Amino acid sequence: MIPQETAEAMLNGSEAARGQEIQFRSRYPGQSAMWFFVIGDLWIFTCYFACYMFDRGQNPEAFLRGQQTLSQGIGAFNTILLLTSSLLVAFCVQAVRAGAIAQAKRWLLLGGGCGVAFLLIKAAEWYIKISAGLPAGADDFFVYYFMFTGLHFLHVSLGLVILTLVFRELKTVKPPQTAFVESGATYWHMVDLLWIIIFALLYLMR
Amino acid sequence: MALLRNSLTYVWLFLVVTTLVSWWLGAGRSVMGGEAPVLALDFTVTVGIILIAVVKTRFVIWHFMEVRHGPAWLRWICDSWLVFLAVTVVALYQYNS
Amino acid sequence: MTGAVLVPASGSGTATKGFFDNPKLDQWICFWSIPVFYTLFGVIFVLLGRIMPPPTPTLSTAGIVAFMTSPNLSLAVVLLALSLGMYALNSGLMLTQMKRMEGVSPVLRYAYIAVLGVGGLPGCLFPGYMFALGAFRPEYDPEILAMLYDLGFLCFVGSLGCFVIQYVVFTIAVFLDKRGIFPKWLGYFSIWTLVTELVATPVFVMQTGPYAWDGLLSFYQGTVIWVAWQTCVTICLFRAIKSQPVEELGLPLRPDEI
Repeated sequence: MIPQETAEAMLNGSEAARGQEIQFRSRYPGQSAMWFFVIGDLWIFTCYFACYMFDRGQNPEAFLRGQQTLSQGIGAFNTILLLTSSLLVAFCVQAVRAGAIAQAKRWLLLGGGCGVAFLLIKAAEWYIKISAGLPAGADDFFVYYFMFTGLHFLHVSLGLVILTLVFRELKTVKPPQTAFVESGATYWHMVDLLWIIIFALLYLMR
Repeated sequence: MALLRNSLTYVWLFLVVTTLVSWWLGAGRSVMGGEAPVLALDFTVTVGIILIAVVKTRFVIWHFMEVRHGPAWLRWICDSWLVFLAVTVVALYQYNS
Repeated sequence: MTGAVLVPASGSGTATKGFFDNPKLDQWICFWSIPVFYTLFGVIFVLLGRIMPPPTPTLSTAGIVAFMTSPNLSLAVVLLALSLGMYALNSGLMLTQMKRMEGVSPVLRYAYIAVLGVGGLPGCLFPGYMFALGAFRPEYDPEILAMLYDLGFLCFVGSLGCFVIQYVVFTIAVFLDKRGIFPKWLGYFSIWTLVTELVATPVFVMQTGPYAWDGLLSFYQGTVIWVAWQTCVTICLFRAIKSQPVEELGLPLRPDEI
């Protein structure tokens, strides 16, 4: 009897563990509608990036000339700002799962603060660019520059609205819906990863 | 400290370091060295920068967006999108220059 | 007689007897005007007018004169002038369904309707009238025709702001709605439409490339997404009408139902 029982327990144990593993593996954070949006948005941006690369190849000198007037330092700083913001929002999701709502709210405020700082720096960068006048012959590059950074700006602003809604959820609903918080975080990370690519393509590549 | 025990902190650290490396690759030499602005296409540097960006993107998707725990179809969609993006960007760069 | 009360099954308007007994007849008539309108839209803009896909901004003067004085174009404009109002039926139906949303400020649906009413003017009617002038008086100076051509296409592709607000308002309403009249993914879809619409902003400065009015990003991507969006909205509208409980319509009971 004992060996059989042990075997059964082992079997059950391993099965339970496997079941848990499968359950863990096959779940995505947040609501499916958000993933529908994120994947579609990534493909739309892929179209923009492909157009940019094609046009850049047609006239690489003009694009390089335009690129030289950008401040790579500001771009790198903004990248790190968004990465940090992403990390803080990821901490917030972890805290919500652990039930530490007060802590989650703190992480979320800090993460959102980084997002606001990103927007302010971006606006300052635009102001400097426009008031300095655009270099002649680099129009095509600057159409792309303002288009990409503008669209991204819009995405960050929308992300801040979403984070505000998440904050309201944390503040008013007890207990808050984890899936809703996760959806907001997923959107915010997408904004971050789009900027990583925009930074590489607009500011850095030669 | 709890932050140091959190694996996300190390993901973030990696992302920051790679950002600084790609900055150095892309602009550092002309900015820090005080040389004349670079006005030439550079295939190696560009591919390096694009690869770093793709690896960073993959880290964000995998760890921050938690796709690594996601269902197979989601992981597959994300990875094939990334491959498609990288191949398209590098191919268009190479094709024209 | 109370035993013979015919209670229509909630959620289905087709369970009733005859055509005129359908309590949602008004909504269904408006609904089926949508495919009719967009078929006409395709005939006017694509087949007859050749306005979509647009010719290039850098077209030669002879090309512009040929485009502007084409008799098919003036026929298209006549059809447009006659039928554009049909999209008001679509808007009215949207308003009816948006009214059912819960937890959504009425301001949003008023804004939706107002902006749609304005957007159709620069987006469809103005360009139509400008293109009509070429066939109306072919002896116009080619330079004047070129100006009308530019003006027409800038109106047509560049009528951005109204539709941007339309998508914003719709997205917010869909997200706030607690009843789920429209699915949440439709709200996200509207954000893509909004983004692709914004990308057409440089048509006012670019004559070539993907941001010109015949460009890959300004025109083709935006149009593909818009067509997909319009299709999805129409399907969701169909479902919304179908699932609307009859009691909600507030109709007086017919004598045989008392």
